Amino acid sequence: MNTTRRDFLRYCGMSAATLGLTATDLFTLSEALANPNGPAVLWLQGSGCTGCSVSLLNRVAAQAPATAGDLLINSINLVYHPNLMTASGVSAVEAINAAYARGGYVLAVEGGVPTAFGGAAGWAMTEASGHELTIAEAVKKYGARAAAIVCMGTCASWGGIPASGSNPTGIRGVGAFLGRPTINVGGCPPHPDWMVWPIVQLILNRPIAKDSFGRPTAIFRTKVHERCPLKERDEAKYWGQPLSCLKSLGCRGPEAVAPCPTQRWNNGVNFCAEAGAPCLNCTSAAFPGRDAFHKFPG
Amino acid sequence: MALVILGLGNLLLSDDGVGVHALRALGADPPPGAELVDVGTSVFSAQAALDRATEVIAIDAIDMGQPPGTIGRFEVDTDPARPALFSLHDFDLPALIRSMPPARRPRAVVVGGQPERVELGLELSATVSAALPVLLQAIRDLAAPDRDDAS
Amino acid sequence: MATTITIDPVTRIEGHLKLEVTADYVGGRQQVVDARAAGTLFRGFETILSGRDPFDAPDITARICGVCPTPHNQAAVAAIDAAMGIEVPDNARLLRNLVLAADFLHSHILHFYQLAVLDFIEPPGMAPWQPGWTEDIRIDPATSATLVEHYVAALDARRKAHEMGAVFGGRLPHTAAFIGSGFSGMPSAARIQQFRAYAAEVVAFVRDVYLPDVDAIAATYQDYFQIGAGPRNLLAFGCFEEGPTGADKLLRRGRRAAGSTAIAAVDIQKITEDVASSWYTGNNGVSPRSGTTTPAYPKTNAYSWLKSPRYETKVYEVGPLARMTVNGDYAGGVSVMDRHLARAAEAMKIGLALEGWLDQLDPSGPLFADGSMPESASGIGLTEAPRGALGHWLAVGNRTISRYQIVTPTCWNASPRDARGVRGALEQALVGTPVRNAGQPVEVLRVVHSFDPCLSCAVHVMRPGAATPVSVLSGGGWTSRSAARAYR
Repeated sequence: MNTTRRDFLRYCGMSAATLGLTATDLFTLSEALANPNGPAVLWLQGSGCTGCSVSLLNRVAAQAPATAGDLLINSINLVYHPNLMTASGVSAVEAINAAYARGGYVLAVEGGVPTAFGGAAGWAMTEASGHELTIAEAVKKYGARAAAIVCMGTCASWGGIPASGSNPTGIRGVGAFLGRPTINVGGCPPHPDWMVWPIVQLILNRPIAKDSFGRPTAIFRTKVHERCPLKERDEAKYWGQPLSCLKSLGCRGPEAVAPCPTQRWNNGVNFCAEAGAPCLNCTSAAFPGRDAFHKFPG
Repeated sequence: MALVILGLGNLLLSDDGVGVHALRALGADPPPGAELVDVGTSVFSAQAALDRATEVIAIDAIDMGQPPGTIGRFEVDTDPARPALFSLHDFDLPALIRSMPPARRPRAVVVGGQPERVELGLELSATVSAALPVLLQAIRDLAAPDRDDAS
Repeated sequence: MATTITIDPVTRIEGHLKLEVTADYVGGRQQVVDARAAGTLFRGFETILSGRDPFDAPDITARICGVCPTPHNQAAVAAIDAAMGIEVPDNARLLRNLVLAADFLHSHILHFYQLAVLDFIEPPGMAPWQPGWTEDIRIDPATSATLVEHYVAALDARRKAHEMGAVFGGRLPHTAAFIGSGFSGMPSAARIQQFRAYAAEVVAFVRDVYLPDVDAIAATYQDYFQIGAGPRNLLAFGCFEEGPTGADKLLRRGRRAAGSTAIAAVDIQKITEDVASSWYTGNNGVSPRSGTTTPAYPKTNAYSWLKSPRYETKVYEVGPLARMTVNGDYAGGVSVMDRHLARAAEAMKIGLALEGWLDQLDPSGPLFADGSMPESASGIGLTEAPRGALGHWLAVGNRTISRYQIVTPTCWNASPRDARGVRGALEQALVGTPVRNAGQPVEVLRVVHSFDPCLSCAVHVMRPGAATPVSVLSGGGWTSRSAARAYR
C-alpha cells in the first residue's frame, strides 16, 4: 500500500483551501501520483435500495476524508460502483474483473443476496462472453478473493426489509450466504461515518472489534435511549406533542444500539427522535420486525 | 396434532362450491378432533385457523384434467426453504401457508373433485353430487390419525 | 450487418437495468433499430407489506428506493389519510412539501452531475471515473475540468439539500417523520430559519451552477434536441399540495398527448397493464388492482420483469418534462436535452416555492388530524417522485394491510413491449439513436440517462407456478397423475 500517496493527498485535501488548490488541482495531483495498484474497493449492489450509497455521499466530517469528494478522490480507489462509475456494460465488468484478478480488495456490498429461483430474482452483470451473473453468483465470485467484506447497511448484513415478512425472494445476509465473517455496518441506511470508518481502518491495517452481530463495537456500543435528549421529558400521550419522550408511542430507542443522539444525522442537523419521529431500530439484525412502528394510545 | 379441515369454494357456482358442500356434510358427523372451518372464497379468513393447525385438509374443486367427478388430492408445498411469492390480486391457499413463518406452517393436503359445471347455480351437478360420498370417505381416511402418509 | 449491443450493468442509474440494442445501417448511418430494456431485480414489496400495520407503510415503502424515498413516504401517508377519510392540518401538509422538496432537489442535482454529465465530458483520471469512453466528447479539456469542479461542488450541494430536509425530517435518506394523519415534529422558529438558510444555498447552486451547466451542455450537443423523443405522450399525477383538498398543487395533474397542445384530465381507471413481454402469465389490459402476477419463465417473447403500464392503451412518459410541460412551465419539445432542461427548470421552480411554504408554517399549530383507521378501509395516494408519477393503493382489512399496490414512474418509462407490440417509452426513445462506435455506444447511454431511471421502484411480486403432482383416487386406490391446480 502506498501510504505516501495517501498521506500526501489527504494533506492536500484538508489544506486545499489554504493552499488555494481547486478540485482540478487535486485531480492533477492524484494523476501524477497515480498508483493503479493501490488497494481497491469494489462496491456491489444486491437486493437493496441504494440508500446506503446516498447516505455515504452525505459524508461530512472534521477529519479526513472530510467529504464524499475527499473520500472518492483521496482516500479510496473505488474501482467499481454502479451509481458512480463512468464505464457501463462490458467496460464496467472488465474493470471489476481486473481488480478480481489482482485480489486483496475490500468488497463492500449494499443490499442482500436473493436466492429464490436459483438466484434469478436479481442479476448483477453480463460479461463479454454473454454469461450473466446473478447477484448471488457475483457476491460469491468477488467475495472469494476479497481481503475483507464490509456489509453496508442492514440489508447486506442480515437481509433487512426485503427479507421481512415472508421473505419473497429468499434474501440472505452476505455473511450467512457466504458462510464467512463479514463486517456488518447496520443501519437503514447507516450514517456515512459508520460506513467510512471500517474502510479507513482496513486501508490502514487496523483491527476492527465486532459484537455478536458483526457490528463494529467502536460505533455500535450504546443504546439510543441512553443518550437521547428527550429521555428526561414527559412521555408523549399523542403524536405531535412537542419535545416529549416517544417511548409510549412505540419508539424503539430503548432497544436500539446506535450513536444517533450524540452523533446526530446530516451534518449534525437532527436525528429521528428529536424530529418527533420514532426510532425504528434500523441497525438491528431483526429490522424491521413484525410489530407496528407506531402506537396510538387511547 | 391439531387438524383443521377447510371448506373452500363458491356456493353460487355449482361444482365450484364442492368444498363447502363437503364440509357441511362432514359437519353432521365430524372426524374426531378436527376443527371444521367454512372458508368459502375468502382465503384470508383461514389465517386464524391455520395458526392453530399442525395438519390441514383443504377441500376444494380441483382441475386435474380428469373426467368430472374424479376425486384427487395433492400435498401443498410448504417446504420452508421455498419462499412464498404471491400476488395480492390472486391469493391462494398454498400462498397463504407459505406466507407463514416456516416453523409455524402446517402440513397441508388439498382434496377435492373434478368439476363438471361451474356456472351459476346453487346445486352440485349430478356427476359431482354422486361422487360426494367418495370424497367424504377420502377425507375421513386422511383425517384418521394413523393414515399412511405415503399412499 | 446488424450488431447486438448488450449493456449490463447500465451504470449511473438507480437499480438494476439491462439494455439490449440492435444497431444497423440506415441510409448510410449506423443507428439503433431495435431496443429491449429489462429490469433485473425484484423484491416483492406488496408481499412484504401484507399483514403489517397500515401506519408502517410509509417507512417500509420508503425502502423501495434510497435515492427517492420521500415520494414513497408521501404517497403512503396520502393513502393512509384517504383511508381514514381525513385531511391533515396545514402544518403537516407544508412540512411534507418541504421535506419532499428537499429530496427532489438532492435527486435532480445528483442526477445531472453524478449520473448524467459524465456522458458528455472528459472524466477525471482515476477510479471510479476511469475507465471511460472517448467517443464523441465535444467539451474541451479546460471546460471539462470546470464541470468536474462543479461535479465536486454538486456533491456538496446535494448533501446540503439532504441536510435541509433533515431540519424537519430528522434524517435523510429515509425520514421517519411522515406519519399517517400528520407529520411528526413541530416547526419551531429556529428550525424554520435553519431550513431557510439551507434553501438559500441550495437555490443559489441551482441558479448559478446547475442551470448554466445544463445550458452549456445543451448548446454543445444541440443534436440531442432531435434524439431520444419516444412516444411524446406525457403524464403527470401532480405533486406538492397547495391546499387541503388536493385540487391545488404546485405541479398539476394532467396529460398531454403527442401532437396536441391541450392538457387533458387523468382518469386512473384508464390505467392498465400488459404482460405480453413480461415473464408473467395472465391477461393483458388489466387494471393494476385486479391483475395477476404469476411468473412464467421462460416465456415466448418475454424479456423483462417489468409489466407494461399503459394509459388508454397508449405509451406515456412520466417525469420532470411531463410535469413541467403539463403545468405550462416548459414550452420545449420532447428529447434528451428537453428532459435535462426541464429537470433543471423544475429544480428552480421547486427551490423558489420553499419560501412560500416556510412563511405559512405555524410554530404552534397542530400537526395531526383527529381520527383513527377503520377496521376495513382503502385509500389511494398519488404523487410524483423526481422521476415521475407515483401511486400507492392501500386496502385495510382487520386493521392490517390486506393489499398494497404500487405503480412507479420507471415502470411507465422503462416498460417492455405491450400486447400490441408497441415498445415502451425508453425503448421507443432509443430507436433511431445514432451509434458511431458500437464498442462505445455513448449515445445510447445519453438517451437512457435522460430518463433518470430508478429501477428499484419498478419491481413486481411473483407467484410460483401452480403445477403440482396430484394423486387421483380410482379403483379404491390413489395413483399419481400429472399437474393439477386447485381453484383456490
